[in-house]
Amino acid sequence: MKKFLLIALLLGVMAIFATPMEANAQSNARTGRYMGFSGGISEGRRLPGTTETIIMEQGARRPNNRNAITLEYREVIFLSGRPELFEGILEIRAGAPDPNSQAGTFTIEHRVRPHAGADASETSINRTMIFTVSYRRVGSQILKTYEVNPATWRETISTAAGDTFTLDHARSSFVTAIIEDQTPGVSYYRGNVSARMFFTGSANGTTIVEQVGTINGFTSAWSATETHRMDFAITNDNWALTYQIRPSVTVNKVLQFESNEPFAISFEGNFMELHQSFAGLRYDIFIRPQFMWDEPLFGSHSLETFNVFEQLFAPDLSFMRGHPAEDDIHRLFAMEILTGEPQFFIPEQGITRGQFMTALARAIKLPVQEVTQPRGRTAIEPVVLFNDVNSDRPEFRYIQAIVDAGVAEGREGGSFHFDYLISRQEAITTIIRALGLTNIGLNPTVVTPFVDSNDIASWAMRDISVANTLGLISPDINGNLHPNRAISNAEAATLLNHLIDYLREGIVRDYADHIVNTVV
Amino acid sequence: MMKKKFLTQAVSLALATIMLLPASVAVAQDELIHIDPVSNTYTGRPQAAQLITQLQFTDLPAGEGFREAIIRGGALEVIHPEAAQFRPNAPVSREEAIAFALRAAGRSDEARALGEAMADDLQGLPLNRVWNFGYMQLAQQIGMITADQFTSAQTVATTQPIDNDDEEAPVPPIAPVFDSTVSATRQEIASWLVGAFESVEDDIFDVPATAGVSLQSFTDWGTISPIHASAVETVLRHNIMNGQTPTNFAPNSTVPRQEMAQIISHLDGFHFELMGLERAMGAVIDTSNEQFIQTGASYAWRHIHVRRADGSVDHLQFTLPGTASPQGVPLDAVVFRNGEVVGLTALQTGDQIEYLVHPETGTVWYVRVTGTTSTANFRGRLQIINIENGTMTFTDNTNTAITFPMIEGMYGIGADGQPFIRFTNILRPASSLPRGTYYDVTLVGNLITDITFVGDPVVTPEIRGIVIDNNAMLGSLTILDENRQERSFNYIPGALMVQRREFFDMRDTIGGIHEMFPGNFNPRETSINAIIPGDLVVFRVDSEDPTRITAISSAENIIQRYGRILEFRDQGGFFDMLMEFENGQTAWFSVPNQVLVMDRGRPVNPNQIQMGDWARIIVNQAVLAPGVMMETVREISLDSGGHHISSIVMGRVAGFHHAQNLIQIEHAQELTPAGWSNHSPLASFNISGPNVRYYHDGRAVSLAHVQRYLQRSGATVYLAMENHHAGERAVVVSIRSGRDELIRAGTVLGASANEFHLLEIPGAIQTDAGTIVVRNGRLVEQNHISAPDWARVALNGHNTAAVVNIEPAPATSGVQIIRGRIDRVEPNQSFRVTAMSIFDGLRWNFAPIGREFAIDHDTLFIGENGVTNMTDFIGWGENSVIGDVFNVVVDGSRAVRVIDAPFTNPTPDLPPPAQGHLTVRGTIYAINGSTVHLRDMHVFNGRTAQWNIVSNTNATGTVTVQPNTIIVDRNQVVGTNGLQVGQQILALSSDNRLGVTLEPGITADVYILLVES
Repeated sequence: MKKFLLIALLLGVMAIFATPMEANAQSNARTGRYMGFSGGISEGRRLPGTTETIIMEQGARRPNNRNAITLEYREVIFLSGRPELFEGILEIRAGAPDPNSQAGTFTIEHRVRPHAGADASETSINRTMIFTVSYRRVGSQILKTYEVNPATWRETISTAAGDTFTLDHARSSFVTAIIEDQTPGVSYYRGNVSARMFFTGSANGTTIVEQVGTINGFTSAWSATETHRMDFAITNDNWALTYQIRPSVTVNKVLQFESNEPFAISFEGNFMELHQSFAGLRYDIFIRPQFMWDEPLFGSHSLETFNVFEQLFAPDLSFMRGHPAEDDIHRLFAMEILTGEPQFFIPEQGITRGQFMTALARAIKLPVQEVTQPRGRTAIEPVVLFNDVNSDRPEFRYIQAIVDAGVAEGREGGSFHFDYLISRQEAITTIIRALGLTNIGLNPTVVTPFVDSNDIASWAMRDISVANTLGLISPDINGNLHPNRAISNAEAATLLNHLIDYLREGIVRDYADHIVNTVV
Repeated sequence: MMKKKFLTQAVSLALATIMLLPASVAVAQDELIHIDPVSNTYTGRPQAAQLITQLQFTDLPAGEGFREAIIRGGALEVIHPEAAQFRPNAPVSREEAIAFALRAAGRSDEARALGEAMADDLQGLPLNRVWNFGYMQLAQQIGMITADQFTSAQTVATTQPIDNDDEEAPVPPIAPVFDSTVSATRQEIASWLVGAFESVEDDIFDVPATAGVSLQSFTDWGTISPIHASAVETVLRHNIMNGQTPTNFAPNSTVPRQEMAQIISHLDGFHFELMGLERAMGAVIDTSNEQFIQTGASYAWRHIHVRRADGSVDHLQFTLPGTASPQGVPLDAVVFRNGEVVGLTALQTGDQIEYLVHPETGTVWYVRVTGTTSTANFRGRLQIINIENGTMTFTDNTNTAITFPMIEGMYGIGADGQPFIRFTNILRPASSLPRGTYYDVTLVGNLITDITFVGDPVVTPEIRGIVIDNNAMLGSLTILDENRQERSFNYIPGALMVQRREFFDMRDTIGGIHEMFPGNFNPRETSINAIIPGDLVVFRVDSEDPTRITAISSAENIIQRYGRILEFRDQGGFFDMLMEFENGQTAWFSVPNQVLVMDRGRPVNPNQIQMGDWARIIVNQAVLAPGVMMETVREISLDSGGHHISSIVMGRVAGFHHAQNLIQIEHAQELTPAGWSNHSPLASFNISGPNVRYYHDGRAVSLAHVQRYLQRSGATVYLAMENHHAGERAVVVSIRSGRDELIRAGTVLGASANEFHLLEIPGAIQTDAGTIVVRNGRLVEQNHISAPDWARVALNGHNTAAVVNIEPAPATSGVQIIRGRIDRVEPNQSFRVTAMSIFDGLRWNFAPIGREFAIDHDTLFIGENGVTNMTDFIGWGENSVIGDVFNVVVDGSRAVRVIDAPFTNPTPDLPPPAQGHLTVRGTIYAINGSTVHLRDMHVFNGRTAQWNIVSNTNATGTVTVQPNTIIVDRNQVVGTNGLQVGQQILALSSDNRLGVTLEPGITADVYILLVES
């Protein structure tokens, strides 16, 4: 029994200090948090920067989610029968699931209001929705249900024509249910929304708004996107209107290189980390009141955003100037995914499993157990996982995190083959597992489009097929993959940059552009 | 210096020696040996090396039991080796027996101290005669022997002639003299053993005995001395000694030394208690070496990881200091392995061992290799997982329950407080493992090191794989199975149950197994023809013919792709489509017309696809063999506008706002029907898109190039702006050094790869990679200009097109407007006109025949105040429309618009001087609400069919668009907001032309307005 207590205590302590920040979106998807569920958009909230992440890893206090966050907000309303753009403020007070609980509840408050001093004749929304979120965890998934207490749901909408619609909250209903799947590198989520709202105050009698839709989103260390596909049906005594609105909010981090103007400077330019935000919505009208016959059947609105940035580390890579992977390697050092003295990272040399996994863990910002605890507490005794991964090695905790997350496994004999060169198929497999996208490959995958498909190990076949489908890898000029060939440092850097680039932009397009641009 | 060098060499040699010893690989079946925490680490002892040397007896008995007992006694320093021979058959002397007893009781240090205290008195006597004095004195002090016996023994030892001192011929005892060198009797030994142990702990033998016999069971019990009877009874009950035969105890017989060793080993339990020793069992799973090297103080270690019988891990450590100082002895333990006395380094992976450790000092004293660790596999039904005890209980085929302990890493309590089992190398909740079903269990030394799920017997064999060929004509299906083997099967199409799940099917089929619910409707039931390469299939085969499929179910393998349609060619029945995906790769697809093309959520004809459209396509992917892939388009969803070109901008590069991803344009103007318009002195445009293309004079360049060399160049820049949902953003930034010249829009007469001819424009117009070519709002390639496109072209430089904007040619003839008098109304269904006039530009052609037009929900009824309700269009009551005249926009026999508006007839029906209704033509230069301001205004004279300019100096006027005005632009009826500055319009009013004076400022309410260009 003593043993169990010890393990429980140990794991418990690990859990506390491995608690990811919001940056590690793996733990806390942003479902509806910065958009609400009414078809609107906000500027979103930027992901933590590199410096901020490091400060928080060193034990700084996390932001208090209970503090109100105020964001610019846009929403298109159709209660008058015509699309009218509302420009105002979204104020959020959001709780979050307890990371140590299997089930529980928390609340999220959304308040929408016009800007202070806004013209009273403009379209305006005053809305208060307090969501009670019930959640439970099953494996890697969190299942959430958002409900609104009618007693606290208030909504008043004024149209440009001067009509004021007031929500009959006692008759109105709302529910949202979300499924989140937390994979090592990305937290994916999908939700369904259903609402029935009754508005009074129109000469056309009670206006009934039926809303049904889906939410698609993901959060990673490099980007977060949430896109809604909401179908609305508005009916009153005189007309009916149906439309689909597809709002989308994305925040991501990209790198921009800044070269130096002075000649006599100790470093050769550096990357800046740029925090971008994209917010826009597109709508299509299907059934419209006849008086709207000459209005366009579709439209879009966006929200102007402002990029912020920070400087990143400038490594000395002069020894590899002109190397085709120079930029890839530079970027990884700048992001501190590769650390240490760059001259030890010789491009043409092979990379070991331990080195690659460490870089991968950093690339996807896997939460790792800290060596020293905040505020000088006693260090935690590490749990040895493999006989060849010495706990004194600096990579130890990254390997531990990689294995805990299921990204990689040990080899026979209780070893990790830590210091063995990693093969292409091993590296590709871990990348797909980090993305949590193995599932989209055919099971079983028995053949791939690569000419040397038969050389691919059975365990790697599916992930390699997925990587190919996602465009993360491609065959050489002869159609080969060379799955068993060891990869060099330079190739590893390229592969990791592809992964990060996919997380920054590729996956964003799948969740934003591809959904917003199509009507289903 | 010499000394230091010597030390280094010595250390190196020592390390080299240890490293030559084989370090084995781990036992594969216990992969967690290094993952589980080490419960205890035990190091060797300094005295072990000497013991190992001393215990190399050359005369050990053959019996394993005797040999082991002797070596164990030696390792624990109960038996002190005195020579190379153990003399196993020599009887134990009294002094030896007493010494063994005291050492076993842990009192050897006291005895040695007493002996040393007497050393001065014993000078001159050989050590082999007086070594026992300390033991004898201690024995006397604690009552094992009497004072007389001690004195007597001392006297014998000190008075006997030294020359006669021969162990082979001991001097016979002379009563009552107590000669310690004579052989001890069995009852004496019993007595001394009990005495020695009880001297340390009074009630040590009071623990209930579990075996053994009573002395009264021996026939010679009466010969036992009353002095020893109690002790004999004790040793018998505790199985320390037995009878010499089953019936005789033989109390006065002597005991050979080898038997004495065994008697001592029977005392282990009591001995260990007194010595603070513990006995453990386990298996050597892994050995590894480690060394630490520094000049003068180096170490080499052999680490031996032992899986204990309870599943935990012990670590035994041999240390070889690499120093030459006297303290630099190895820390080792006596190991008895295969009948040989060796050290810890001789332990091998797979050795099953029993070992004695001293927890207080963290040392290992003795290791006995009892055999080889057995590895076994067991298949059983899992019944119980007991996390607290660390055991799993299975039942075998005879339903016998068998419980095995697990190795430590197999189980535990997770951070969530839930028990877990390590299963297929992943920690899973213990509750998730199905009970009552079969598992393969790997046992290493009876410990579970791994389990594998087996499940229950297969009752309906199924085969699973990927289809690479299906030939329904031949009844043949070829698959690649899970083991990558190509396998062919046959079937009889008519006798086959087939199901297929399409990619869009809802995943809620219940009762999918046909033979269980044959009457149920299953939407997935289909014919074998539906199964195509790439499908994932699961099928059953005939029990008598394993190559014949009897039922098959499949799901298609689809992936999603997104990209731009570069080429589209209607081939009649199918179309070819070249797509460029977001990663720049391209692929041709041949798509049958049956494939659904969706636009804004509705299925549309494939010929609605336009080059430059973006689309999300669903593709069925089949990899038929390595390197051979076939993709079949299953669905096309056209992009609803996110990639459409929303504007084309021209200006001068003014700079970049790098961090905000903006390009700043001086004198920015937008291409409109009125030419370059909407001037802005300085405007910023977003360039944050992922694939912005930059060109300089038709040559592709990088953003860096533009930033460094062109941003202050004053060159003209053209931007193609995309309608991204998060705001407009540039997709093409084309910078040119020439002067911009917008030429009038016209029809393309002919085109080749990089030039085209425009009607009324002399010479060929060149295009290059930097030419922005937009067709119907889609960005297309330069070779997509073709006759008879209607294009608006901006030139830059000598006949080089910077922008080619292709749009539908202005035309209004596609919209049919009639005017008729209502004869009959069928509410919500149709109406009839008695006769009608058909609008034909500037005249109405009368058709004296009645005609019926259908009404549907899309028919708009418009009055002077705008849209009216369909229900007001009735043929009875005060508001009856019978006899009223309406303008009607018709589409075949369907009424699209029914408009109550005045008659507008440019051509007079009346005799001169009538000139018809006021009809004007002009170019829009401003729009204020419904008031449209025109320049170049002309007025039509219906009598002369001439257009008269309003004024030669200020030919302006306004027309007012009414709610019931029909506006036609490019063959579409549009609203007021469809009008744009720059358009040339023809507007018809109902005012009498005769009452209008040609002067600036003519106004008119118009009811038909045609956009001409």
